[in-house]
Amino acid sequence: MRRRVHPAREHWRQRVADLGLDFHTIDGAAYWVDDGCYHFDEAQIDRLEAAGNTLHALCLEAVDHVVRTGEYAALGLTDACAALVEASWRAGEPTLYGRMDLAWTGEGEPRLLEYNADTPTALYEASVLQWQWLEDTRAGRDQFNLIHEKLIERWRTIIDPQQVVHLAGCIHEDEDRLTVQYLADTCLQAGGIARVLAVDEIGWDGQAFVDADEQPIARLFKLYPWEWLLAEPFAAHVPQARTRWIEPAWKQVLSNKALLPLLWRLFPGHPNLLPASFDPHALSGTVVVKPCFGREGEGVRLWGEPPLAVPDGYVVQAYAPLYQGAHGHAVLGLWIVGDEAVGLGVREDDGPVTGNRARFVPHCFD
Amino acid sequence: MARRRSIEIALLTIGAGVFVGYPLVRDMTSEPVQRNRYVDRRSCECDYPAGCSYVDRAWVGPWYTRAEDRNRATPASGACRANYLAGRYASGREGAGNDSYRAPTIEQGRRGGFGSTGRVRSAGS
Repeated sequence: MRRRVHPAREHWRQRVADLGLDFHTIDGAAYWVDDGCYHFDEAQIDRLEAAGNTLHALCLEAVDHVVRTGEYAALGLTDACAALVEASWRAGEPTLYGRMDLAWTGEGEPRLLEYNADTPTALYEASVLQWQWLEDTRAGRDQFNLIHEKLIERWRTIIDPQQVVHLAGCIHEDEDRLTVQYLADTCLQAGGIARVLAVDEIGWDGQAFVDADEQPIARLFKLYPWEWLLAEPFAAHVPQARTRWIEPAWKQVLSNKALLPLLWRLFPGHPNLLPASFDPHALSGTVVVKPCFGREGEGVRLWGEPPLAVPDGYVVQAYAPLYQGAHGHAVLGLWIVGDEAVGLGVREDDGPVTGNRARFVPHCFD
Repeated sequence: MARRRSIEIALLTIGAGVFVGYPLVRDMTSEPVQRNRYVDRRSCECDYPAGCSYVDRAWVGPWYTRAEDRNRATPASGACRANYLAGRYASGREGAGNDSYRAPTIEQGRRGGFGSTGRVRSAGS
């Protein structure tokens, strides 16, 4: 694994804008990196893929454990949330996708930093834009990227032909809109009828959630975190609604960083996990303190040694260095579609905490 | 395992010059929506010649925001309603033309119950 400098494509801004990414440059700084890439060898990709499949399987075991034992309080889930988690898990509500963030320098085992299992973004960049970049540049022989075809395949297994699927999100945000629109596109290609709407266009007609045309919402993909959704006024209707949600409610167990201490307790010493706890005294050395529900690095802080205490709603995880080079620190986003690791996206930031100003850097392997 | 795609990625709805196969995104995120409810179809169609539907024992027009209603030339709440409010003809009087127009009630959208957190933050991670 190494970061390479590569000549940018001529007119690359226009190229990515034509493909739908208007926010390639944000406040004058590149979001999409066209003049560099991360290069792997095939054995390294094999290792990442295996780690993703293993970790996802562990995560499903963790959900099953929580449902069987009722350990919801440790996850910060209320009784109402727990009931939804339990019902959706027992009903076998299917997942569409997620993204695991891994720390890895190219040697040893990749380690799970968190699982963005509910509302991951940077999907389109990973699936389409970096593939087009490889096609244009031929910078490497191949790329770990079956995201697009696996999404279409997955939609076909979780919806009926010609089924209407509503896809809602904060579509006034560029990144969220692109993710929602891309997933709508793959749904459409899978034979579904995709309807995109803003999350606050969702209505309640007394019996069902409805769209702006008063049509009932039977299947709803929401790029909107469960913990936000359930804190808002319409949450009162969720238990009685017949809407089936994508991602399902049981994903609250995985998108919550309280998952990290749970995994470490269930599978202590697993090579793809890092020691994690609610109790800072349980760890030593450099640690990372993370809020259970933070997004894009928000509230994440490194400590040279464990702090004396952490507030409720925070976890402590042992520090694992990211790949670091002259261009910054790289976190590896492993895409899971259904239950399978299917692709990789690399984001790079100036510091060791990957935040919302991280850059997307394409990858390839030989 | 070969991970290279064997197919060209085809997109139906994203990017320049592509086919749009479903309604485009409508951004109604900043304001609550409302719509007109009429006691008769004729009054509804006076405001919306092609946009009326029968819902819950009333004729209703499309949802709109107050911002959309501020266009005086084509108010989203309907031209007949605007004429009625301006006193250009009476409501409820039987007779030819617009004099038979019966003004609607305004129904506030039962919407906006989700999304309040997302108005200040991106939801992605």
